Amino acid sequence: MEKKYDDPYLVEYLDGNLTSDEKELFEKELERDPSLRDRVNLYRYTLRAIKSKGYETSIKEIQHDFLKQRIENKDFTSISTPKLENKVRPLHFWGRIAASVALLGTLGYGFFLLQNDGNQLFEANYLSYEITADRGVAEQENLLESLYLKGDFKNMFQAIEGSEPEAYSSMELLLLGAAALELNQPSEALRYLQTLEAENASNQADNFQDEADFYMALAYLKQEAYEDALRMIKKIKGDDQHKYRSSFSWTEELSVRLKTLR
Amino acid sequence: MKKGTVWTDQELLDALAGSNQVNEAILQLYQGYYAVMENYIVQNSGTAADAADTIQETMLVFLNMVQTGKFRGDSSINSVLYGINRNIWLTTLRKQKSRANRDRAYTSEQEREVKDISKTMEEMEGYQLVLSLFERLGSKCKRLLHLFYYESMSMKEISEAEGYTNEQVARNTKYKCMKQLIDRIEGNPQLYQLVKNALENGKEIR
Repeated sequence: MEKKYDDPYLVEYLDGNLTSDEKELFEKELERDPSLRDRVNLYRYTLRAIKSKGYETSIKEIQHDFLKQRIENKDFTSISTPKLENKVRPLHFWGRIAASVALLGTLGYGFFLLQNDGNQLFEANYLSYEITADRGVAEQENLLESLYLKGDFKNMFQAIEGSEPEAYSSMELLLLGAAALELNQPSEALRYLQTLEAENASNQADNFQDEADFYMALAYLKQEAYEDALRMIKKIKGDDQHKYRSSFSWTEELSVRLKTLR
Repeated sequence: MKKGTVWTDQELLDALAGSNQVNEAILQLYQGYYAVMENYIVQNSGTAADAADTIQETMLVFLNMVQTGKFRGDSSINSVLYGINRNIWLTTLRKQKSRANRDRAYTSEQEREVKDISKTMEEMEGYQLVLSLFERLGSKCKRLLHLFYYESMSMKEISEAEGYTNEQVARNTKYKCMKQLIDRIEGNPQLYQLVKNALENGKEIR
């Protein structure tokens, strides 16, 4: 490609930083030069992909709130009661009624939250980890991946028998953690996921860290290790960029918090 | 645009194409069309949970269509959303369900396929591939690109918030991050080809 316009210049154009004259000249060149046009389109496409990730998170949150609100409205059923005598009640009478209702409501809600045990919270939030469709394109599929894709979780552990978690790549550690959860073995899942977390920390990387956080939170819930689960849920919800940020609702967080107080 | 009222199609499209009221517009779409789309899926061998997943994807595809100028209000939002939702659900059925189910549902609806919807869906599959490489960038790079391109923060705001020495340093770092990502896309011939195909289908200049 003729380097009349280099990549930084293309980015300046896409970011809207050129003057109107510069922009006009550049767009004329775009019309004329197909290779330049291809390159700009590649950048533009990549920017859209980045934007779409942000929108995906927003849409997830909006949907979560929308459905929550819908459920709350659906649960409301009006109960017809016999008409009271048309008697004027003093204000403090209604105050007491309101206070009693609020107290009953709070107690009922607290009771409801306490009823959710770790297993129920696990069941409500568990999603099987899915290997993204691009794996076959971006990278060669390995043995553990292909066993995972087939749902052959037991054989994954037979395949690695005798070796230590440190011997595996981040992706493999995540898959082993997810497979252990599929087999209902949270402590085994934690062994692999914690290794992944430790490796990320020592390499200052964040390979599959969001996934590891999410599945560790679930494994802790399954073990009823509420303090650890709460720590993980707070980490997930406190990070604006976290992929699983909207996976746990605030009532679930509150429910786990209450469990830690017991 | 007024809050608490139902927006017209044009108001919704303007908001979705801009950057200030995108979330409010998406909420309006949920309030106006969720029930219809959910009903379609439940009536076609799906569950409420399937509907939730499909509708989430539908919204993302629709938003992308509006933002890339593939939908400018030539037909009603209702019919386009319905078309995307149906298309995604039929694709899911094709992947998941038995052949009998799939054929029955697919043939009855096939004739109403909307071309632009498939194009956008292809394009968005490509996004997922690009994002798989994006995910492998360092966290600083990911954050910087997200803040600038999604949150629309200025370089000045980013340099202050993220502790860069000055705006220019932030700008240079952003370029390096972007270049790193582009190099990775180009370094993967199969992925690069997929992106090029998506661009070919899109035929976009502006």
